[in-house]
Amino acid sequence: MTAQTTLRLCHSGMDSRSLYAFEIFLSRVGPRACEITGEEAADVAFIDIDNDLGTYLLEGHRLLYPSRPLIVSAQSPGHGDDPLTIEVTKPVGLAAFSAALEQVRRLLPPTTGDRPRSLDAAALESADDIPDEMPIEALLGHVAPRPASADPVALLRQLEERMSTFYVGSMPDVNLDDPAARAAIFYAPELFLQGEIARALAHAREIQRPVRLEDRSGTALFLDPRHGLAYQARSTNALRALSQLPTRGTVNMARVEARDAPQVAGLDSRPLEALEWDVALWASRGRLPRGTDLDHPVRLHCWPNLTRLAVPPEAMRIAGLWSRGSFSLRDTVRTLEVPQRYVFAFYSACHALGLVEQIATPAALAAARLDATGSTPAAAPPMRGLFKRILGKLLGARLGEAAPG
Amino acid sequence: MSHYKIIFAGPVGAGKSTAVSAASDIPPIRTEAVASDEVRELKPNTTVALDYGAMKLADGSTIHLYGTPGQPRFDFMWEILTEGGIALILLIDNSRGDPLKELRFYLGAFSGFIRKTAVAIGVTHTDLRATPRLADFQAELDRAGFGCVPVFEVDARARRDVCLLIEAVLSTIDPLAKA
Repeated sequence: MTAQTTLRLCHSGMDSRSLYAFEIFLSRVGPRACEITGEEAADVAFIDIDNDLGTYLLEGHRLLYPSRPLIVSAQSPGHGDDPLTIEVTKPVGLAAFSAALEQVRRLLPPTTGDRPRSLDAAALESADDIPDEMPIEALLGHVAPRPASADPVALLRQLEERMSTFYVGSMPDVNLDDPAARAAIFYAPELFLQGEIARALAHAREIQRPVRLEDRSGTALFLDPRHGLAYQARSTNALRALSQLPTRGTVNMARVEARDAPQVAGLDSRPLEALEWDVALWASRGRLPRGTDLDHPVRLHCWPNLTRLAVPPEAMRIAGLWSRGSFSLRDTVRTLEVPQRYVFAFYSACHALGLVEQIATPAALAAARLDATGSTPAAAPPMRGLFKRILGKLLGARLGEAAPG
Repeated sequence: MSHYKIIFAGPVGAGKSTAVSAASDIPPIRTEAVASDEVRELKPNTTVALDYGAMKLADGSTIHLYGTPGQPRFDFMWEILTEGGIALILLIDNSRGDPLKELRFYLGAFSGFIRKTAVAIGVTHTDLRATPRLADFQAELDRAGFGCVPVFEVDARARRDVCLLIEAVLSTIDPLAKA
């Protein structure tokens, strides 16, 4: 019999009490079978899909760690056919969980050497009276509760922030008054897939035919502006990768011919607007289209259709602010106290869809200065506390369901 | 005890009752009756007084969700229901009649309330008819002097869609408020 590698397992969304019960459960799975670790270092993640945030956690984890095996516990399995997702039916017993760990081991590349265990041995000794075969869910009722350590809204915001890197990157704020540092916040959309798509759509409208975009690996996208649809021939992650770097002449367009029909027929369609939105966010990575002025007021013509588009972090508050008056990008960052990349990415995506413009008339500039001066009231409005509580509730509803693609 | 309300309004069949139900943490209370007028052509039952749902907040407080009856002959209820409301969610059915005319009508009927609070527009049944488009609704809002208002496509059955509408309308009232 060969020695088992200790699997590094992370959990998502467990409160301290559930985690304690889970640690006890793991101690009975087998000596050195697995240890709980941080998310970055984990070999496998464990997610309870029936948790309020289960679906979101599952999708979020898959986006952040596309090649990591997941063990998912559910009352009713059948959440998809991802080969890296192993479902275990509740109540989760030792045998089922051990089998799932074995499956994970088979999915992982071979490694050498065991890793030390890090479970809290003293805490686990105190739980020696618990029967070995007790499932996780039953353990929850058996262990003494620990004080709750996480505010659920704070946890949600943390999750949202981590997920936000998928759309807005992680560029730190720069000193906007430093010309050298400021250069880092601009990009040229026309050099990215974003620009290729804009050119392809203009061409397709001109010839009144769908077009396709292809690179060295073949066709990436079919674009049909007449019906407002895009057909994606690449995975979302592959398309994101293609969107994030300048294309440097590697992407070509061609009109769709009759021979392309079978390939198009096998692809799912999505609204063009949603594709343009995503691609602009990915190209922007928290930057602004070259030529954008940081101090000219932004005018939002029309809210983006946020029920059908990815919702970047703080998008609602930014759009809400721009609905109320003339705020420059610099003032938006300052007023809302959010990272620059949130504001810049949202502006870039709105700009790609033609939803915003900057106004440079003297009257608009004067109005913006006035709005900015009055944007930070001395005392919070009386309803702010209530709104904060409602928004906390709504954040859960928003993150609890994945945005439609 | 404070009585905070969010109001759902719009024409018959736009999805008000469904939206209240989707956002509510309690089983909604409905005051439906068998439709006896032209509404019968659209659906067998219709709201005659109000729909009621509630969102329970973490601190134990409650936000009351009220759906107004759609027919204009119940408009006396609208003023009663909006008393003390904090925001209006206006749902418009894109698949029937003239949606922009409906929008104009309800903006007019609730203009006093909207001026004091805020409105977000949810356009339903866009899968049945894609036009008018969202930009057309915004143009109508501009013409009516309401400025830039959140206008989203909405499936009234989807809690996420309804919650995004509520989040948007609150963000227009106080964008500095943060969860």
